Amino acid sequence: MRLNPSSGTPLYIQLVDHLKHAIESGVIRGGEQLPSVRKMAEDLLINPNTVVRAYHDLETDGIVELRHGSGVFVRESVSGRAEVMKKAVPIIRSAVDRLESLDLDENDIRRLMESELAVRRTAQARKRRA
Amino acid sequence: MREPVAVVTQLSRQFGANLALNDVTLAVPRGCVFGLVGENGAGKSTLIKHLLGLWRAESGSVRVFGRDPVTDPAGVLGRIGYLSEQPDLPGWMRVDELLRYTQAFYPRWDPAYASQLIEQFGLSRDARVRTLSKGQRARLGLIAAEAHRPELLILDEPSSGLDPIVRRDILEAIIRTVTDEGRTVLFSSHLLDEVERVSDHLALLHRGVLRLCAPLEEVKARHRRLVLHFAVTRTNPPDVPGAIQVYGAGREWTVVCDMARTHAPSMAHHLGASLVDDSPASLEEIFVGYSDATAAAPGSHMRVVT
Amino acid sequence: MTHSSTGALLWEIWRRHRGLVAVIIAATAMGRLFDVQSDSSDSSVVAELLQLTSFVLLFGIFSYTESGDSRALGHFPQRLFVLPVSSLRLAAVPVCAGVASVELLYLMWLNPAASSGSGSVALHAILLGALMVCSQAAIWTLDRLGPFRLVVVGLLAVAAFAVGLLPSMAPSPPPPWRSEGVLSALTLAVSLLVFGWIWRHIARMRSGGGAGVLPVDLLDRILTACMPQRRRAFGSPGAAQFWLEWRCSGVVLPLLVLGVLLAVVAPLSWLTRYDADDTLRILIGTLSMPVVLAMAVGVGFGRPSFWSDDLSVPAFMAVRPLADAALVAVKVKVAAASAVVSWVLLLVFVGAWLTLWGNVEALSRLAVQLWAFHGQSVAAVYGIATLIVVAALFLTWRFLVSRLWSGLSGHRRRFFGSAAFFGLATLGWFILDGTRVLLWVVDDPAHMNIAAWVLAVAVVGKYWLAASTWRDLDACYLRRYLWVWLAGTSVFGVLALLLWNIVRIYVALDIVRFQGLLILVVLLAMPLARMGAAPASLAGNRHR
Repeated sequence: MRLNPSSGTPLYIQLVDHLKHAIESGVIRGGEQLPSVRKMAEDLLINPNTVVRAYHDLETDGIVELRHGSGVFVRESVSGRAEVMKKAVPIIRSAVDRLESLDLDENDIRRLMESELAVRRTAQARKRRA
Repeated sequence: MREPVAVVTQLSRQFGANLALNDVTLAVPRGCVFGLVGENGAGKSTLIKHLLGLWRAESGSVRVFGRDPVTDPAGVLGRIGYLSEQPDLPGWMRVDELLRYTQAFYPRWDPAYASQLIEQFGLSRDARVRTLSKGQRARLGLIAAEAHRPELLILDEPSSGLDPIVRRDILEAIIRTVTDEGRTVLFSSHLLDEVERVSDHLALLHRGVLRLCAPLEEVKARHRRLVLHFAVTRTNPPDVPGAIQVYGAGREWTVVCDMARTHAPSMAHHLGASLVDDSPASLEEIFVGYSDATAAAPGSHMRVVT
Repeated sequence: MTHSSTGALLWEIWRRHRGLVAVIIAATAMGRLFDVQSDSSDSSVVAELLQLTSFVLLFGIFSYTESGDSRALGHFPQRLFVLPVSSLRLAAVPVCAGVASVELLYLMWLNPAASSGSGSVALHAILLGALMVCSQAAIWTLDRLGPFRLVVVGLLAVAAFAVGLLPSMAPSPPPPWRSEGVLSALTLAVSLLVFGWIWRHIARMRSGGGAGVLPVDLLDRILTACMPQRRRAFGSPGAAQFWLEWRCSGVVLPLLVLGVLLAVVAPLSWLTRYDADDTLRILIGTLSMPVVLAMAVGVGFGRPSFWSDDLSVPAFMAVRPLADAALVAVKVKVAAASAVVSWVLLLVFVGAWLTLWGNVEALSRLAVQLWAFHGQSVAAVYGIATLIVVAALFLTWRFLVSRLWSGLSGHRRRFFGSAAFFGLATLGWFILDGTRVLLWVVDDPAHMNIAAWVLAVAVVGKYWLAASTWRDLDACYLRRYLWVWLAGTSVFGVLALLLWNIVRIYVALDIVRFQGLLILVVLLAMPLARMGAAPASLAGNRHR
């Protein structure tokens, strides 16, 4: 796995995405232990706090659980996520179809998606701070 | 909040006609990776040498572990590991002689850890330092700085001129240091992607002035790149408050700005342009933006007190 | 300007050193004028000095080196290798030009009336030419030694001087191998061989180097054998720093002493083994050799790093968690160890020499005189000998550490100024015949009074300074150093007492005042204020 610090996405989000993808595609099974913060940080050459934040986000999303003293484990019930993801695919497909019908190309679509997500993210962050 | 490892208060330093440091105030929190960036001649090495006591504070004060490194070198330096850009190790010494020599000064030296690092880096114990390549010398200097597990590891442009494998070793050492409870790393670098990967805090020096000093996340969150499309062709760049860099031509102008001082949609509306893109600025753009500014006014930098 | 490559190379040499050439010509002109016009010994000494200066400058011009660091002695200019010129020409031009210049200078200085026959003139000329070639070889091929190359050149000069003396030494007429003709032929042959070696070395360097030239490798192996790899851990930071300082600077004096003993004293002592007076003279010279060498080595010792011209503290040393006073203490200890080892080597050699092949007649005469003088006590004779050796040991150590305060401070002007002042004072003593000053002082009680006042002021000043500088340091350093100071001062004091006893018999003078003067001189002998001030000056340099 190669994390790219200079792409627009923060490192911890890249890590979260990668781990989520690995879990959903079955590379990491439910109940397995994820590498420790230290090992993950040393392997990827990133700050341990980034790993901590990624693990925290995964815990908030209900994908992993932190067992004190033992480490970070993938929840057994995570396979349920795969179903949700399957449902999401047709939604995305139809949205992209509709945007393409407006004569927008790939880059336009991606830019619009990212700015929309960014706006939501900022709003969420403001809500958390308030 | 635990006490910061190093506190620099209103430090100024002049070399002849050149003002190397201009009223710099910063604090290095304990347990973090503190990245110091700046162009060549911005004052990074000067600041680091003040922390080590190699330069005396002409005006202002420097405290490391609560003590002045100039009046108490033995107390402060015993807890610091230092790797300079070109480690001036004596050429006639052999690798294990150098490590034995360094070991005598630091009671917390871990011989097993040092041996493990020597194996890992592939250094030959009997080789003389002058026969080692630049990368091997950097690795040797890293072992000498790291093996006593210092509370504060200072690296002054450690990766300059080194191949990617040695740079990897240095980054690994930085991460290993900071995962140990309470140990801190301060390093200065030109390689911004390295700084982005491993830093918690970022400080940016430009011509001796501290333009930026904040946690890295905040820096990246608060600086965005906005692309504006104007209806009318402009010959002059648009005046955007809080902008650190503006470039473009004709109808399309790109502005990198500090979002704490700008609200994007209202600003675009005010200028009579449409906001086409709003994405996070890369560290390189932030660096160039703060380093390119012709006015080095101390008040215009962003400071966050932790 | 010619269009040939040789002309271009020569023009470059001249262009670079125009100033020095002018100085040499001026010095030569002045010296010859002195020689011709006056006959007094004063001006002849001045003329000799000018002669020496002009020759040294000429050798400096033809050292023909360049380096990135403008202050250090560099290497053969490697930028010439890309020119379309053969290696033979590159080697031959500076060598031949150097030899021709030195012969020309020799001719200009030649005094036709004073020379003792055309034979020795030829020998001296050939020796000078050979010295030029050999010193160029030393500077260009022994790169690895760095500034040590100048020492090698100095040794070569001494060797050339000794060879020049060979035909005139006892017994005369000299045996065939020592005749001028044979020596000249041998010297010519050696010069040609050395030139061949230079040519080969330059050709090798040009085509990318390769394995080191044999003598340097050998030297490296000898040095490595002398300095075995450290395999044990260090007991304390002080011990580790001691080891480092010893390896960098402490071994220099013992190695120099050993080199001089083997290369100069041993052959000279063998050659003079039939002459008692010569043996005594060489013995005195050998005993004063470490002290003189210590004066030269002390200049480097005072610097933060011995081998570098830069007076700033290298980061490698400055970042060590070691207090300034501890660093100075380590340097002082290393100087002591250096002095002791040098003297042990010397005494072993002298012991072997005097027992095995030395002519001890003159020495025995002196010993008998002392024995009779001191109530026929053998112990007294041995005691005096030991005392002289210990005093010389203290003097050696003193000269090694005397530059510490000015060198560690990092101020170039202070350091070079004080070293130059000391050097000029010594030179002035020799030129203006300092013993006259001593006799002037001792003759008249009024003069002795003046001298006593001057010395008293110096003593008071020294101890007042010492008190103010030692106040800031840890008491443990003061305690340890006071023992050293006490030992040194008492040794010098006892020696002064003996001197007074002897002088009293031979010279009529005011005894009490003379005693007073001697006591004051003894009190000034050991460095005290400088030792106390050194840590502060190092601190100023370490934290600029």
